[in-house]
Amino acid sequence: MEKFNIIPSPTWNRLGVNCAEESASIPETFDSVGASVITACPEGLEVGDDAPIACEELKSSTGFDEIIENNAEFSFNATVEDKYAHPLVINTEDAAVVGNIYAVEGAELTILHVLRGSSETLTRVYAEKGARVNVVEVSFAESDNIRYSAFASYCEEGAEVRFTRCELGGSRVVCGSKAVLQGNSSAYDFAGCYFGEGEAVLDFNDLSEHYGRDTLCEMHSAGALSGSADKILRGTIDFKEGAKRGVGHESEDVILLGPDVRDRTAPLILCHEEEVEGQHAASHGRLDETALYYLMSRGIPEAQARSLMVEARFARAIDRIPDETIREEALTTVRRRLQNA
Amino acid sequence: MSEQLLKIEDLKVSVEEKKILDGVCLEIGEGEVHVLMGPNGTGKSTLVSAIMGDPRYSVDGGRIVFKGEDITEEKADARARRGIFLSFQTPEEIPGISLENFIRTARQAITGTPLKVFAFKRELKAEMDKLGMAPEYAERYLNVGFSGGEKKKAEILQLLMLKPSLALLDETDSGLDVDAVRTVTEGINAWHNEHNSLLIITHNAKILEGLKVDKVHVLEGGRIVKTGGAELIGEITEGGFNAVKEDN
Amino acid sequence: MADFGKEKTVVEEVNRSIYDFKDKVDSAFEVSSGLTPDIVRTISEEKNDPEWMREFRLKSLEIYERLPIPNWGPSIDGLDMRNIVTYVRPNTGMSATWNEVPEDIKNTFERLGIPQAERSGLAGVGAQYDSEVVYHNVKKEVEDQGVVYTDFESALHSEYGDMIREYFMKAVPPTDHKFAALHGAVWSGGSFVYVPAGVSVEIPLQSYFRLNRPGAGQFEHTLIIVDKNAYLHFIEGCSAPKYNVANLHAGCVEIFVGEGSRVRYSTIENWSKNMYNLNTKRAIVSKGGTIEWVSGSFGSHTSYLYPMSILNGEGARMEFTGITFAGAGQELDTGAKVVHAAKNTSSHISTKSIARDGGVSNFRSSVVVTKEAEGSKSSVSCESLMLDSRSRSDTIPVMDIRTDKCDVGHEAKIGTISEEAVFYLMSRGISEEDARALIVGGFAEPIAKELPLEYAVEMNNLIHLEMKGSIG
Repeated sequence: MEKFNIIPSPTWNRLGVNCAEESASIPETFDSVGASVITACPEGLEVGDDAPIACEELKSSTGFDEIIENNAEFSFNATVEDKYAHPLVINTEDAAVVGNIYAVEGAELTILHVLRGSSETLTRVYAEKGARVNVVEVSFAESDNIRYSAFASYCEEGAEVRFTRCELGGSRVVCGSKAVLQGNSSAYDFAGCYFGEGEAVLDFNDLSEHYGRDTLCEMHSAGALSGSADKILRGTIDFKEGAKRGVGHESEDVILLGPDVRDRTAPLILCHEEEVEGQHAASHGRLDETALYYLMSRGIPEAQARSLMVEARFARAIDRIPDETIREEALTTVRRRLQNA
Repeated sequence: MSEQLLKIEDLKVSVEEKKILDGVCLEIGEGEVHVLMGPNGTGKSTLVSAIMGDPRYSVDGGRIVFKGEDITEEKADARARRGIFLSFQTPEEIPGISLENFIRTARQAITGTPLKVFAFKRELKAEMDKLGMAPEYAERYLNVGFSGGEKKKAEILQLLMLKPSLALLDETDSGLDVDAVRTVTEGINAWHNEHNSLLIITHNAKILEGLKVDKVHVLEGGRIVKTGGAELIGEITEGGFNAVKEDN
Repeated sequence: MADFGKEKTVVEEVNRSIYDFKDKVDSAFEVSSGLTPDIVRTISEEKNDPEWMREFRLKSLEIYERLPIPNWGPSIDGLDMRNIVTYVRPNTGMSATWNEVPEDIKNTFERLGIPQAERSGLAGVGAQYDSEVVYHNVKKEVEDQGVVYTDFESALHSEYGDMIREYFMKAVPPTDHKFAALHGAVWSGGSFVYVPAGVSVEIPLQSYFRLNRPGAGQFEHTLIIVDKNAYLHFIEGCSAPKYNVANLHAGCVEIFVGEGSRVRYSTIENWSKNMYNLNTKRAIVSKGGTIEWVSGSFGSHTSYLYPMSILNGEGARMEFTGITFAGAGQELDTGAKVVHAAKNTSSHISTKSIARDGGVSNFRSSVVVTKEAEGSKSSVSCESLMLDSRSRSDTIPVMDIRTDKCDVGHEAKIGTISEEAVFYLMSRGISEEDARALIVGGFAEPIAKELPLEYAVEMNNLIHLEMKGSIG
C-alpha cells in the first residue's frame, strides 16, 4: 500500500506517526458531484485553464498530489503580474480542484478558497523575487464529508508565501503543506486551525524547507478535539546546509474536549546549519481552569468562557480570512461544534 | 603632558561595507578623562568598539596604538589583557556562567596567575557592596534576567575587579535612575587615578561629576569635528551640537 | 608498561575459558546471524544458568532472528549483523593492552590526569585491584542495611534467584526490539541490586566498581529492585573513556521503583568512538514513586539511547536530565521515553545537545499519556547547540495523548553560539577558545549540576577537551 503524509525523519514505528494510518488513506477516485466556481476575481487578473509549468513541478508533502490531479475536474490557474488588493475568491462544493498560481517579480495576490461538502484541493504557488502570495483555505466539511488538501510553494529571493488552512469539520481530514524557501530573505507564514469531532480522523504533515539565507518561517496550528477524534500532526522545520541566519518558529496548541480523543504530535526541527534559530512550543490538554475561572468571575457563563478561550486560539488562522461573512461563519461553526462537544 | 596611553591615527572603520568612521584621530594621556559627544548614529559606539576590537567592525585604514604598541590587528582578548576595558551599552546575557565565575576567569586570564579563592571572594563581595549589588548576584548567570541598571552595575563591577588602565564607557549611564547613576559614578571614581584613563560616551553630565574632564570631542560624520575643554559640555547642553560647530 | 603485560595474560585466559567454543559453531545457522542455539546453550552452560534462564535465552534467540533491524534511527551499517557472533564472542586476539588503546583515548587519560593504576581498569581490560577494595568497603556498609548488591551470576544462584526470575526482562521484554532480544539471548555479567523497604542508601552505588571485568561490559544486565519507601542512587559507568576491542554494546538496565520510593540513576557514557551503543534502559514506577535519570553521552560511534519510564502507579513521577555531545564521526541519537499509565503522574524531560565537527546529535522522545492517566502532567524541553555547519542536530519528539484531562507541554530550541557573547567574553581578556568553551560549558551547566561533583568536574573537563582545537 502506498504511504501518505510521510514524516520527514521517521521515529519509533509503534507510535504510528511515520505516515498516515490506513484510516486516513485517500480513495483512488473522487466523484465531483458538485462544482468549483470563481465568485470574485480582482479586476485585470486572468484566470484560465493552463497551468504555469513552474507550478506543475512543485510537490507537496502529502504524496497524493498526483491522485488529486487525476481526480480534479476543476482548476484555477493564473500568472499574477500585478499587485491586487482584492482577493480571488473560489467556492467549491463537493469537488476536486487544482489551482496553480505563478506570481512574477513583485506581484501580489490573495486567494480565498471556501470549501463545502467533500473536497480535494491541490494548490501550487510559485513566487518570484519579492512576490507575495496569500492563500486562505476554509473548509466547512460536515461529519459525512472527507477532505484532502495538498499545498506546495516555492519562494525566490525576498518572496513571501502565506498559507492559512481552517479545517472546521469532516470525518476524514488529511492535509499536507510544503514550503521551499530557496531565495535569500524569503518567508513562509503558515497558520492552521482544525476542529475534530465524532469519529473524525485528522492527519497533517506541514513542512518548511530552508535553503536560502535569512529565511523565516512561522508555522502555527491550533486545534480542538472532541468525541473520539484521532489526530496526527507532523510539523517540520528543516534547515538545510547553507541556510544561514534562518529563523523558524513552530507551535501547536490543542484543546482536548473529551476523554476518548487521541492527539498525536511530532514537531520536528531538522538542522544542518549552525547559524540558525529554531523554536518549537506545544501545549496539549484541557482548557486552563484558572483562566476559565477568571473569565467566569467577571460574569461570563462557562460555555461562553470556554468558547472565548478556544476562539482566542483559533484567531490566528481565522482572523486571516479576508472576508467578513466567511470569518463570521467560521466562528459560528466553531461555536456550534463546541456546544456539541 | 602626561605619558601617552592611547593614540588613534586616521582610523577608518566600516560595518558590513558601510563606512562609519572616516579618519578619526585621538590621543589620550595617562590619567586623563575624555568625553566623546555627538548626535546619534555618528559612530561614537563604533569608535569604542573598534578600540576594543569588535570583529563586526572592520578597520579599513589607520592605526590604534596602545602604550606605544600597534594593536590594530589584535583580538579583543589580547587588548583586554593589555588593559583596555569596554563597558557595553547592552551587555550580553550568557546562561550557565555565574557572574563570579566569569570575573574570576577573566581576572586570571588578565593577570596570568592563579587566584587565591577566598581573597577573591572577599574582594568581590566588598566591591559588590560598594555598588549596592546583593551578594546573590555573584551566583546568578551572567546578566541573565538582570534589569538595565543591574547590568550596568555588573559592568562597573567588572571594571573594579579587572583593573584596566583604559576604560571605554559606552553610555553606561543611559536608562539609569539618579541613584544608580550616583553609584556608578562612585564606582568609576574609585577606580580612576592618575594612571587610569577614561573615554566616556554620554548624553548626561551627571556621570562626569567628581571627574576632572580634560578633553571633550565632538564626533560627526565619521570624524572628530571639534575638540575642546570641559566647557564644551555646557555649550552643547545649552545650544546643541551646532552651537559648538559654528566656531569651528 | 610491564604492569599491563601481566594483566594481558589474565584477560586472555579468562576469555578462552568462557568463550572459546570455536569448534561448536553450527554452520547451518551462520547464514542468518552466526548465532546458533548451540552457542547460546554453551554460554548458558558456562555460566551454569538455571534451566529457566537457558530456555529464556533460546526463546530470545528465536525472537532475535525474527525481528527487523530498526528502520528509523542512525545507520548501523557498520555492524556486521550477519556475523553478530563476533560481537558476542570476543576475538581471541583481543589483547587489549595499554599500548593498543587508541591514541585519542590515551591522550584523554593523560589530560584528565587519571592515575596510572586506574587506567587499565578504565580501559575495560584489567582487573581493578584498587577499585575492588573500594567496592568491598561499599558493600560492607550497604549490606549492614540489608541491601543486596552483587554480580548478576551469583545473584541468580542465591536466595534471590526466584526474585530475579520474577523480574528479569519484564520491564524490557526480548520482543521490545532486536537488540533487546539479542541481549536476552547472550547477556553476561552486570549487577543485581535489591533495596529493602524503608531503607535509604546514602552513598551512591557505582557500577564502575563491578562492571569492567573482562568480557562483562558488552551485554551486561543491571536489575535494580527497590522496595517500598526506599531510596537509591545508582551510578553507572565512569566518565573516562572505556576502550573495548569489540564494538557492540547491547546492555540492559531494568529498574523497579516500589511504592513511595525514589531512585536516581546517573550515567556518563564515554565509550571509545568505535562503539555501537544500543543500550536499553527502563524503569517501572509504582504508586508515589520517583525515577530520576541523569544521562550524559559523549562517547560511541553510534548511539541509540532512550531511557524509558513507565509510570504505572498513581502519582508516580519521572525526571530526565540529559546531555549529548557529538563530535567528528559520531552519530548520537538520544532522548527519553515515558508512558503515563496512571492518574496524576508527572514527567519532566530536559535535555541539551551539542554537535560539532561534523557530528550528529539528535534528540528523540516519546511521551504517551494513556486513558487511565487523568490529571497527568508532562513537560519536555530540549535545546540544541550547533557549533558548525558540517554538523547536524535533529529534534524528533512525539506526543501521544489519549485523555483530555492532562497537560502536556513541549519546547525545543536550536541555535549556535552567539558571536556577540564570544566578543563580550574576549573583551574581558578571555581567549576565543576559552570563551567558546565557557559558553558551551554554560549551556551544559544545568545538567552538570545534577551530576555527582566528580562527574560534573570531569564532564566540564571533557567539554573543554572536546572544544580544544575547535577553532580553525
